[in-house]
Amino acid sequence: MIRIEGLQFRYPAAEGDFTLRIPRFDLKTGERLAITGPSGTGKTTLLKLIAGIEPPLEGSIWVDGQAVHAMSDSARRRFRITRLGFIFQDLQLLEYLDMADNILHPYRINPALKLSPAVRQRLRQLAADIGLEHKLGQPVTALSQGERQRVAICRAVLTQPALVLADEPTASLDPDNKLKILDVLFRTLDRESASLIAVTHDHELLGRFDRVIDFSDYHHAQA
Amino acid sequence: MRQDFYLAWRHLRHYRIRSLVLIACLSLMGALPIAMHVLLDQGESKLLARARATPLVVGARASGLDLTLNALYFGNPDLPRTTMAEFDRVDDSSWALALPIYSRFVVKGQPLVGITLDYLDYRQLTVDQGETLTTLGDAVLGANAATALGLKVGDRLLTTPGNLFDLAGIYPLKLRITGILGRRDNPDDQAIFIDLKTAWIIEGLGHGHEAPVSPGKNGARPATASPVTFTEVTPDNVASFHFHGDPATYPISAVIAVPKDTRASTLLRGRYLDDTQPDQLVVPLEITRHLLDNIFRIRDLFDLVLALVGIATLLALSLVFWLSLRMRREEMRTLFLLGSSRLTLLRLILAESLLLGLASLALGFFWVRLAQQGLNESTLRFFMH
Amino acid sequence: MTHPRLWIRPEGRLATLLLCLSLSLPAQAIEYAPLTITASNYPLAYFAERLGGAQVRVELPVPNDEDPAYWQPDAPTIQAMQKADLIALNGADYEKWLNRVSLPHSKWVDTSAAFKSRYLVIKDAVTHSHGGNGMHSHDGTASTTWLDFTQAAQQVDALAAAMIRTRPALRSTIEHNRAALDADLMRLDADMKQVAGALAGQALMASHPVYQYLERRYGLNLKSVHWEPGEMPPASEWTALRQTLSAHPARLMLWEEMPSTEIQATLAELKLRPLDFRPCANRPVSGDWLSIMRANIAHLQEASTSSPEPIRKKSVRAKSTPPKTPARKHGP
Repeated sequence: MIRIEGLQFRYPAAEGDFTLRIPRFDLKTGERLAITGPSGTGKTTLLKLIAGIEPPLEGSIWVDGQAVHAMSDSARRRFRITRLGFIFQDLQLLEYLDMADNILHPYRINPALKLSPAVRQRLRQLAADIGLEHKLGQPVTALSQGERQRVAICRAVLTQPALVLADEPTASLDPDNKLKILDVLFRTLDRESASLIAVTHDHELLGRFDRVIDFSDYHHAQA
Repeated sequence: MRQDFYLAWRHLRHYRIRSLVLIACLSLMGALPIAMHVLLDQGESKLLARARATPLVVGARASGLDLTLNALYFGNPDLPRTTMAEFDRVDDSSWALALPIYSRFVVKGQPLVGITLDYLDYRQLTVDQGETLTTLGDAVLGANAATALGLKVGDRLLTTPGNLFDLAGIYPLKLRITGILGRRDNPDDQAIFIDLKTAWIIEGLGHGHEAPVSPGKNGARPATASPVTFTEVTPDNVASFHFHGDPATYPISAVIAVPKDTRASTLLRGRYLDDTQPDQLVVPLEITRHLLDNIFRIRDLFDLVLALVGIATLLALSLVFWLSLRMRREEMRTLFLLGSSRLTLLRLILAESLLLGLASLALGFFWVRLAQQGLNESTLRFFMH
Repeated sequence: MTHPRLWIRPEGRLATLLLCLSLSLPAQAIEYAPLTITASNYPLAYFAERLGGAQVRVELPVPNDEDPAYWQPDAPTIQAMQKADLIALNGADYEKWLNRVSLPHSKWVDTSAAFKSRYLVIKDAVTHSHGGNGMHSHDGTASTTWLDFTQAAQQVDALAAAMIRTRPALRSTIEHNRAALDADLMRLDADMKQVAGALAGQALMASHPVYQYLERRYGLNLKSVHWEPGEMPPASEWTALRQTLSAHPARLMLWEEMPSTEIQATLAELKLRPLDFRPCANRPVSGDWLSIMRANIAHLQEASTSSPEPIRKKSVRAKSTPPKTPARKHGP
């Protein structure tokens, strides 16, 4: 699914002289990987590199058989839209849209995605799967934190991505809900046969993942 | 593009108060100078049109502006009066159509204007409802006067002394509304028109009363208690109404003269060149132009102020725009992460600006229209009083 | 084509102009509809009809059985009058109703204005009533102006001028007709002068004070009472008449209409012969203004040379009896 070789990345000098080096990294299709470690060790940076938001200084990144490091801006964007799903740390739902519009949002901002009746059908199916079918027309501000989290998951997988990148997907939840949400996420990913890379600090959740990489000593870690 | 507008619309709708305030501000800022100019231009053209339609005005020697405002706009009720002798003088010359006007009374805020039927003909004032004046005590209402007074055909309007500027010696007469005139968008819409003779009855120069009981043996009238005076003209008592004194001495406020041709106009004007005469002749178009010149001087000043306000507005708008982008930076970042191109982001902002702009434009038009409608009532009223 | 009246309405002017230009029609083509004139009494209506002929439509709004001098138009009549092109007024305070109605001043023509300075003022006026017709008085200005035929001619002049001013295209017709009417009036004047000469200052009585201008123009020696032809005057009036006759030995009495046989009998006792001399203020049952005036003069002529028999042509018509001709239409 993902293969990274000889990766080296450095933010511009003004933002500190942090350098990320990943000699080699692999992810199998359908694999669920958790990345943990203190902040400032490059967890989120790795996600950005995989998503093609930041270009690597050196090395190669292959995702789903495509060379992300060699793509043009627009190809990267298209790739990101069609092959990847995102769950942001603070969810980034849009308050001015209702639940359905939030999930459909990628279709409204990307000409590459066509908002067809089939997509709407899938939206209803997903909403039913996470038990929020009856709240599709409600503004997201009216939803509970757990519900919002589920909405964010739906948005990430509606486009049927090959890979979902999640940054602290359960950060703001109580332990009960954390497990529930993770179940929802895994179930959904299973259905869509998507891989997952999740950055998380929740150590009690790590056991649920196929594999865990701890960035506190990642500079030695090898996949 | 449809999706851009959809999202823009949802955003504006969600923050509706902010959107409405923005639209209101934008529309007002845009409409203000336009409305100002439209109003002035329209006011100018209306004033000039009225002046052109009133070629010459003869009246007692006073301020020419006062005389013009009285004859054209029924303002300045305190204007010194002239007499019917002056009307006869113009009429007998056969140089001009002579239209006497007695604009001295005000009933419930509407001018009560004594005229001859020729005035209505000349101004092309035709009754929309009811009939025109036929008998003493009849009144026809301008369209706005009818609305303002809440009167319809067949109603009565009492000219009690309390309603009039002149309190002394006024005959309270119950006017009968026989007709309502079509709207003309000029001061005639405000007026209550009555026959000159009806105006003189209100003035106390004529009256109707019960016939004296019987003549004395030698034909002399009995000098007994004064008979009952009628306050309403009815078919039964109309014959008892009569006037005292020489009709040539009856007061009018002005004579509108419509000369047959340039020669007649020159001849008529020539009559009034002598400053020692009690009466004068004015050309309303000249007076109005002079008035407008003064207004335009003020307008130029206004324009300067408006230009400064415009610059400040632009700066404020830029700031508002920049701040609103700042407020949505997080959202923009998400969109970008989700795969939006810069172009898409730009389109979203553009769509929203466009919606705001269109709404402001529509509202701005509405303000301008509103101002235009207000003109008929208020601006002309300003000249009248 | 639409109704021809349309062609002189303002909105029709442009169309008319274009039509005239394109067809090179004479200007008269515009003024195709008859000139409508409303007259306040029959003499004026007669003059207008004579002057305009078929080119005018003359309305006399006063009902046939009313004296135009004491008539008061109602609102529908006034509305009809307002629609006329020209409103012919006698002036000399004849139209007492004029001060109580609204008519477009620019359409008035005061036909007696030219001799305004020669109006006769009635000084010893009394208010009196005739039967149930209410009070009236002959206060103010004598208004039967047309019985001085030179004044009638001046009224004709004023009317003709106003008609021409209102409808210039009719100038030649009107002027032609005026010459004929003038000639008729001058003949009446000459005939009346001759009859008056024959009377040579003989004392005359009149039943009503309407002959002031006749008296002045033709030098008659006339005194008036206030009697109506169909109403027997009370004894006191007869006593007063006897007193008048003692100082003013009249043998002839001019009546607007021949009096009742009862009155005639009493007059005969006083050797006073009634004479039919009609002012003809309203449209006569038969004949026209000119023929009535000629008859008036003939009656006077005959009386000045013959015996004291009642001189009249027609039977007595009491005030209360309805007119024999159907009432003229006088409004919508």
